[in-house]
Amino acid sequence: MDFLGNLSLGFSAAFSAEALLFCFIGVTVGTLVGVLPGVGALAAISMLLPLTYYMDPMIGLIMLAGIFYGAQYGSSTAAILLNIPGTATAAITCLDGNPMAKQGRAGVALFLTTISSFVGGCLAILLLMFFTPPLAALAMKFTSVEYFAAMLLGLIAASTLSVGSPVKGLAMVVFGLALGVVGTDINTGQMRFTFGTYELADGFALVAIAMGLFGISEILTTLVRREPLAVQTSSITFRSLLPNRDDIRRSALPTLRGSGVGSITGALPGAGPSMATFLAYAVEKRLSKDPSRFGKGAVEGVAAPEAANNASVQAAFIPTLSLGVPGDAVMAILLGALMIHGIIPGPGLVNDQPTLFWGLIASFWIGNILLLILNIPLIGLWVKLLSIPYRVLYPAMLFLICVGVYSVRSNPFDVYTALAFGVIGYFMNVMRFPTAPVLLGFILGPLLEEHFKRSLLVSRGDFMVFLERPISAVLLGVAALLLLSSCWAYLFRGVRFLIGNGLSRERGDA
Amino acid sequence: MGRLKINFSEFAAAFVVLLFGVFLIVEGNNYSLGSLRRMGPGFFPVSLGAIMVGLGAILLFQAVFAAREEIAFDWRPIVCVAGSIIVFAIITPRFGLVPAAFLMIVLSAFAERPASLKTGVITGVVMAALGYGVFIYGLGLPIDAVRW
Repeated sequence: MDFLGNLSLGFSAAFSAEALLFCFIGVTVGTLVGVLPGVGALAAISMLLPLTYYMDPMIGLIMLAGIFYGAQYGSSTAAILLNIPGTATAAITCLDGNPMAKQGRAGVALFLTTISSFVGGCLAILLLMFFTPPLAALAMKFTSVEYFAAMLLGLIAASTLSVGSPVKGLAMVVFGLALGVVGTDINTGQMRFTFGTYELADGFALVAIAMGLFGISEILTTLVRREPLAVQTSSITFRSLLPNRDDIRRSALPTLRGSGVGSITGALPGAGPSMATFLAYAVEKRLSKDPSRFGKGAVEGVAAPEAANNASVQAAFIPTLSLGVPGDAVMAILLGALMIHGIIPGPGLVNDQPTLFWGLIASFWIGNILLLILNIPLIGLWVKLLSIPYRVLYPAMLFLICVGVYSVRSNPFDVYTALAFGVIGYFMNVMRFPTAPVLLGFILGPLLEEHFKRSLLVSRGDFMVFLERPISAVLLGVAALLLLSSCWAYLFRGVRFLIGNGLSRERGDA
Repeated sequence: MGRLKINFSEFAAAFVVLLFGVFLIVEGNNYSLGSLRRMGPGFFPVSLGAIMVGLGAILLFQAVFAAREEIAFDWRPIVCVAGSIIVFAIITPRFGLVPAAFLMIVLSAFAERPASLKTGVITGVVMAALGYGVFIYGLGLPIDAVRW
């Protein structure tokens, strides 16, 4: 009863004209950036972040979240038609989506990805509705000790579970934490790392760092790498969208399994949509009676990962909204947007801000249905967008970034900051240092420091407090396991490399 | 063959990480460290610096095993994009959004090869008009459109 009451509260909030409008804007922008290769959801969310400063926090959150899941719908379009992932999460969709397009079945692939995204989203929203409130209730007993442990786990998971070197990921988390230190220390009022610049008294601007690391650096990376895109926009008729009976039979179960895999992966900190699609694809290939069909246009290989990426995106809200611990950079930006409005994310959010929480969930339902409408009848429109040349796109994006950063407090300093982080981010991309952990560390840094200080203040400087409390001990144990296992994998690779090198040397001598 | 090759850029990156850690420790020591029971403002940054030095050392070690590879690099996009952003930051407060938008977009068009001045000018005019319509007229941002 209470549940239904809350849900109707949420729907009445989400059906207001303003909420509907910004939900629509969010999912449309999301689909747009999803379709266009070279523009990611993170960049788009960073670009629209300053707009939300002038909005009601719920409306702002609805729009930003819409971009995130909207991009998951759109990202399969370029993957199927051009064999280029629209966003990084659609890389797996290329494997079977593009072969389908080459067989003249692009329409079917596009249709199935939309349907499976929708199913994945629905399942994950259900989980979100039922699991977030009890998890938040459990977390109400959290003290600084548990918060510290949960955030530490989140940071370690985000840096070690991402693709690439875990050491680089960890180094970038620490870099982000250090960026969060800049500014006035809340306990003593002392300026730290500001070097006399008054613009840094409040620390770096979130918008400037986010747009630099994700917007400007992405443009630079694309411009330098510069592969000419051979765009052939085939016309997609409504008739060609419809799958045959065999397609439906083959993709039904994979869609459900993909939704499950995605929901679980998404709810775990650190494991984002990319990992969800990868796992879902691997599961289908393992379960398939005929694995050789994969990579040659198997519908399962399209349906399962697409269900998984949208499910994981929705499920990522579970830890974010229940514990206030974001699992990835997008969630961290959303929490940052809330904090700018003075709302402290944490277990209290579900109870203290019921309209915001349930309104957001209701907007997910509305947004996913809007996306279904946007993506099936209007798919031809999105396909045409693929022919927008990048040389028109990137100057416009640069301009949007500059206006967005400048508008926050009409200070050119922030624009220079964004530029600096853009160049840093570009070099990080080149050297395969992940950029997302930096932002996660930057947003969580001040909270982590505060909880760490408070824990040790209460325990009178005794570090055992982190192990004596059971929840914190478990969380830290998992964090330690993650660290050890990734170190082990790395060490093992190093040893194998040495052995391999030794062998090749022997062979070379022989 | 068989000799270990050292990947220069991996080494440089690891070294930057290490140096940044040292910087955190040195600068953090200017603030009071306090005690474990009552930590001062310097404690957290110094600890981060220590972790960063450790990670930098591991990365240096790993750089020994890193495969050598060619990295595509081009100064032109970086210089043009940076230049256009700096132009925006300088022009907007003094002369307003419309001239800043036009100039930055024309300049940024040179980031690409082959650069097309025509496309740049057209995009610049369109974006300057759109920028005025959306940001100043539509959203009412407190930025001057044109200013002398």
